[in-house]
Amino acid sequence: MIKLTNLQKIYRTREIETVALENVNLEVRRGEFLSVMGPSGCGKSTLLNLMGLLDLPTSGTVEIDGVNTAGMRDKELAAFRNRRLGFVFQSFHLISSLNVLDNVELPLLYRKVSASERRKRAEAVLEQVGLSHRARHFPTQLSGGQCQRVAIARAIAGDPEILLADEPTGNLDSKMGIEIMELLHRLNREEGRTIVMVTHNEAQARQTSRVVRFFDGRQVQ
Amino acid sequence: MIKHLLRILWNQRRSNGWIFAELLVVAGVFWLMADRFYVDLRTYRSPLGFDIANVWRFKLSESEGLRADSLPGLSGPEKLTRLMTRIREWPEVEEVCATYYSCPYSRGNSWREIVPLDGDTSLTAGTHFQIRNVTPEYFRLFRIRTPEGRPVADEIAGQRAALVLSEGMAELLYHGRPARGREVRHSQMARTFTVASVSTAIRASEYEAPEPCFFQCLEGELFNETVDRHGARNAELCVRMKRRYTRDDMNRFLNEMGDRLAVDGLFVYGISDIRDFRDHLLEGKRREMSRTSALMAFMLANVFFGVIGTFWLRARNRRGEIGLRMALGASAAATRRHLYLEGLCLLALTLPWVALLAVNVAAADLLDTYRLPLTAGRLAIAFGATYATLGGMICLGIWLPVRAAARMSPAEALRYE
Repeated sequence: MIKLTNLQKIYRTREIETVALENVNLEVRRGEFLSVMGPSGCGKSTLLNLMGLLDLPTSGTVEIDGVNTAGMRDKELAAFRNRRLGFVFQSFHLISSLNVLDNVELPLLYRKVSASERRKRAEAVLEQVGLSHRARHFPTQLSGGQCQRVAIARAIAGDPEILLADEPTGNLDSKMGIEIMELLHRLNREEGRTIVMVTHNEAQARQTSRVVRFFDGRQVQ
Repeated sequence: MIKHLLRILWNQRRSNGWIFAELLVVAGVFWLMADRFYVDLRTYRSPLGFDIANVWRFKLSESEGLRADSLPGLSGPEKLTRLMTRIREWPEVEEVCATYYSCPYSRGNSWREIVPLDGDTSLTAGTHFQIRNVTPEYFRLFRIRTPEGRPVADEIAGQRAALVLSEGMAELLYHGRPARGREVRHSQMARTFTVASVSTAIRASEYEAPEPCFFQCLEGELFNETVDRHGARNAELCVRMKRRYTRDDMNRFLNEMGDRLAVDGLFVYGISDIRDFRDHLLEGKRREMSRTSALMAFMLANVFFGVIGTFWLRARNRRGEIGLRMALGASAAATRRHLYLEGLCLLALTLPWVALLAVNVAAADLLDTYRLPLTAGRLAIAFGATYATLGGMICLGIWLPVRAAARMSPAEALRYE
């Protein structure tokens, strides 16, 4: 489903050069729930950004569903992200000036989907994450767990095959973390979505189908 | 998309309210400035109704002691006529005319009441019009034309004591019906006059609207009476040369004319390009226009930096949102479009309020409708200029930070969230 080959990412400033990832070769299979672990600064988030086409590798290739994404133009990358990938961020990244329903609709806004269809789809995924009663609320009126569920609803609103979650429970207490993990497992198990999750939580990682570990930009397991 | 934008604007109404208020004030002031500028420009560029190219004004004086020729004592009208004939005979002179306080840029300001004999006098009773006393050559010399484009000189040829109405005056007296051939009476003269022609609108200067006026052709008795009343030396003698003359050319011309420029004590003591009269007359107005333009430029610069700064900060603070939108599938171009549209939507929301302001300003007669009537076209142009300029400023203010954010990878832009 996702194939990373000889992936390297170097951040350069005028003064210094930081190697964030070095020679990463990784394959994520369809329907797999993969956890990426490692200490802070080891390159986990960079890996997820590269997988999610949010950043370009310095060298190496990212193939998603057999499509080599190297050389894609901005518009093609945007369309690819929109249709194939869903993102869940540690700090939710909800737009505070939009209510829950409008936030969930966002990925559909960049497709040729009618307003009524967008609304219908957004309501359906909110129902799925158990937040349909909060549809008209604003992010500031929700708890952290609810915000993350909205973010998950937004990630799956466009029906992507792949979900990329960057420490989805990192800002939540353990009870809410469990709720979110249950939701992610359900999406993986019942809907067959491929999930790649960055986490620091060993227990959560153990619940997933595979764990890869990183240290200093290298895959160590 | 527009609905989505309006929702965002509404949900952020607390912060957007201030920007809206700023835009409302700026758009209102800008519209007033644009309207004023448009009226000035249109007025300035409108036809004057006459042509002063190669026209010089001769300054006359009279001295009892100066009798260059041995003519017996002539009357004022005779002296003036003879002087005009002599000048006209010079091969490089195209035309000569005499006027009283009626030459372009002469600041002449005489008014007479005119009553149409076969028109609706009740509509025009008490209506005074500016009178211009001119010899018939005036129309050829200043290239005065009818609204249809024919030379007025051709229409009045062969008619005695002809009266020429300006387009505006003919409209006031006859409401669109033909004026030529109709009889009118001066309030101060027992006799009647025939309207020989209608001229285009005639303006006093580049900065003024045309006033309804009429030309009284000075011929025969009327010429004599007028010259006697005002004095030959006070006549404005205008001369059109066949080609462009410099000051040196004109001085040479005067030297060559020599004694022929003196008739029984009436003599030419100097010349001026009629454009100098114009420049002198308009000096104050031009200074005033420069001051107004400088003030407008200053206001524009303030508005420019104010609007750009506001939207620059607003867009810059949303770099994280730009990153998020790109992560969710918006291309850089779509993100830019979104933010431009949002700014322009905010501006568009001020339109009904500024239109309401315009209606009230117009109703309170605070607009210059004397020089240019208030039409839908005038409103559209002033509003169009206002909103196009403000729209451009908003887009520029958004473009700078958004361009930088859209150049970042979404991952990097998301760090600002």
